[in-house]
Amino acid sequence: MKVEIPGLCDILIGIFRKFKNDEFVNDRRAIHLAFKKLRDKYDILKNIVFKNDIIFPESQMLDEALYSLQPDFLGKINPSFDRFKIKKEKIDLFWDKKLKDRLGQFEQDFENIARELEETL
Amino acid sequence: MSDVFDVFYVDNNQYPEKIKKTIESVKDKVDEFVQKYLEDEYVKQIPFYKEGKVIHDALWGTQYIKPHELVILDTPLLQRLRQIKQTGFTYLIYPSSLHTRFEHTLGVLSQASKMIEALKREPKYQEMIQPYEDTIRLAALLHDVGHGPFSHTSEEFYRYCDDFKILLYHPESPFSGWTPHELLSCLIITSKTFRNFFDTRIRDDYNQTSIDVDLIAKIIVGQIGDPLKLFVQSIINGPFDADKLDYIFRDGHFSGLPLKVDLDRLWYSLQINDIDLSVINSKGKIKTLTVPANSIGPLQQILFAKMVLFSSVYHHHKVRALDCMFKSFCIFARGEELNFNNKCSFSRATDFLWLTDYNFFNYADVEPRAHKILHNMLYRRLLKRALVISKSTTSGYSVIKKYAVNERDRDPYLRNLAEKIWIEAGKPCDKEDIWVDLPSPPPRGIADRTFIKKSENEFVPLSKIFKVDDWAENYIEHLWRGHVFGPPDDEIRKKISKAAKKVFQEEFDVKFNNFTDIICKLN
Repeated sequence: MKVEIPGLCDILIGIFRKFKNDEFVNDRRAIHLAFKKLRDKYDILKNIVFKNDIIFPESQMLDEALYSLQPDFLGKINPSFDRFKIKKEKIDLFWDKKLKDRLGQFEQDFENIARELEETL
Repeated sequence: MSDVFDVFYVDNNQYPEKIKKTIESVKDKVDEFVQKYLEDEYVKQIPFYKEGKVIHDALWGTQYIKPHELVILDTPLLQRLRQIKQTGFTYLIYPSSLHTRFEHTLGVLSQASKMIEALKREPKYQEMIQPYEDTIRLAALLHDVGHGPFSHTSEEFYRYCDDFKILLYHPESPFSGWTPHELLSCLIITSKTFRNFFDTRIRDDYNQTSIDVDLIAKIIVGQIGDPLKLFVQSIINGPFDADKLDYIFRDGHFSGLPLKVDLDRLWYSLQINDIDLSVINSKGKIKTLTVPANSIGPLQQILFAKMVLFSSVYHHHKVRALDCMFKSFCIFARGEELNFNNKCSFSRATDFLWLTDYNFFNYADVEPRAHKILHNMLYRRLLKRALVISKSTTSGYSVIKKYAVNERDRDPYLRNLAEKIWIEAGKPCDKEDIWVDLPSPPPRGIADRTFIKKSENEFVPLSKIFKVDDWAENYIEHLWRGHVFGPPDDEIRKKISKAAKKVFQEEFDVKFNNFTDIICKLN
């Protein structure tokens, strides 16, 4: 039986793996706005749904994915929680074991998205 | 931002054919439901009220209902909410948690009116809020009219029905990212039949020309559009709205888990202010509800109370087991084509409007297997935990928790996983008796949308002062539990537990320690 993996968390792992820094700012508004822009540019992100809001567009799906990646793949730095810490070692290990074969074809997209995110966040 | 509400009253060709067709079909189905629930036969029996009435509530005491509101309240559309429990199946775990959506609806009206009264104490706010008072009050009354049986329990099922999969998850849908029951409420209120009823029985009979039906719907779904009217929406659909205030108190109180929020302080400190969005590096200006920096205590209490409710009540493992049993029944009923009044095929989100907690259990008399599932629920022969997925039972639990995200294809994936476990265990029970349940975290973002007045003309989002969303998330993170559920029989659950551990190891490379067996009483 073939199990189809849904995938925002896996996509985020692919993107965070390409980050040059292992930290980024925990600014929910900035993160959601950045992903909203990127969603319109990259097909791999097209399934992230956003709800329009006067203050800023928000994605509950993105919130849930960022929450679900914690604590093993992503953490928040205590005590201020101002920054996310990418747990590169675990991400690399998981990528090699579980995602490389399936998502390897998107590596260039992940690289480009990571560069754009790093500029914004 | 274009007005997505255009889709409700003009031909809209900007959406792809698939979305357009789905919108039309869903609108028709909703209108069919509204026609039945506003049938002349019933509606003409509702009197013309010359005076209002007082209604007593166990939580908030006495409140006054205006004559035209009584007409809305008397419709079968609203009375139906008496048959839908506010917190789904929690009453089988917390016995006094029997309160309904109807009581909650009145509670939201009570809290909204208290918010409005608090604002009206200041003349400049009175001028702003007065023109919208009746619209806000009706938004409070109508905000949950789209709920299906057992409230959020059915919502978690019908959000993945084909019609809503398109409307909620297609990136080009005007409703993508909306909350399922809010979309149904919105479709009911903007339906042709409801508008006709409203025009004749409310607008004409009571000369209520200032109430705007579209504005009611926009408030409910959080799409008011005009940034200078955001304060109007915020009373019903905002970071600390009347809906949250009522459900936190009501769900806590009736579960026997009293939660305190200093509401007097909140009412006293409420303001309406213009905020230049440059404070969050954005453009434009909004007019919204704010509180001064010395009064943020109640806002923190709201957030923490919400987290306690999620971990202790909504995500209680027995509640989750019942939610899975509900889904089992829906899948079974869909497969067997059990049909209620030829209206509910369990395959469209709109089907669930025809069901309430009362008539749902009528299916027990229709078919033997249905009888078994439903009587197991009614008489509390519940699924039990065969495996617990948590920080304390496995070191690699984030790998599994990844599937707690409410994505379009999440449920079929988890059903496949359950089937794998069933096969690995040697098919010891019905396939529908095994469930992998990974609850999603509560929605966040309150702290980003709540603006605090630091000093005259200086506002910041609450999240810039205190990371309350992150604190709360951290708290719930420690209490998060995923489960594999199976039938109550210990021997069968042992087989399922063993099989689940094997499947999870193969699938996710994750090992479990013995603590899961201790929690599940399988050691």
